[in-house]
Amino acid sequence: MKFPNASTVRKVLRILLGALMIWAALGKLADPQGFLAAIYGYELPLHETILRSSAIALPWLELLCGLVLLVGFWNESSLAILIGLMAVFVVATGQAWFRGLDISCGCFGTSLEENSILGSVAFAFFRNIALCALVGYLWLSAVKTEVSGAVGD
Amino acid sequence: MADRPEKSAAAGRVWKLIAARAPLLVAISLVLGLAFNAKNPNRIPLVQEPTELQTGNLSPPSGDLAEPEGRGPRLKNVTKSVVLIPSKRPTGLAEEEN
Repeated sequence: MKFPNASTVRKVLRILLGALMIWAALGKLADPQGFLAAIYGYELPLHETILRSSAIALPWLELLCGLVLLVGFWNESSLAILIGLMAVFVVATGQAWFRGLDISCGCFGTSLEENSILGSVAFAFFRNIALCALVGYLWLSAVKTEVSGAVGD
Repeated sequence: MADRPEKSAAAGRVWKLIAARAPLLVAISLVLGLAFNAKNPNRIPLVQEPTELQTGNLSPPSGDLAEPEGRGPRLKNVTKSVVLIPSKRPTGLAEEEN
């Protein structure tokens, strides 16, 4: 049996990550008010306008990054954005879990798994850490490939 | 060893590309989000809309509580009354029970 090489595995992971981002974005775009309510639920010490702007722009950023990853275009830039997003998500869900806030994470819209363990902030915290590691790995690989291509190795 | 300057130059170019494209992606998503939000009936206002109390657009009260000058409702035709509540049972009732 022949195992796929690392490049193929990275490509599959990139496509899966892109599909996940698109799914998350569509869930939020379907119910913007619900997503804003989910953001308020985190009780973040941020200005009202920042929270509202995030609720407006974040789903589109996820959708755009997801599409870019699926197509395989501007990979390193979209992955750099996703590292930042995942870091923010880890901090947000981590502080909510630490403070014992009884909220659903709102990661895939408000309708999905609202009252189950999959929608809890504790699960979302560990899932975001795993995703952050995956995005970091893919980003490093993409940058290395880009640099190698530029040098002509 | 010989290709180290080349590699660092290439890495610099990649960083420059990331620095140029990432803000572009963020800007595009912000524009798309604002455009979609403006057309969406279930939209999110960027600033919190003032409540009726803050704007002073409360509908005037009707009936006896109406105040045409708009200085807020004021009770009319209210007379003061004092209700006396006995602290002890009347002595007559106690005698009847016995």
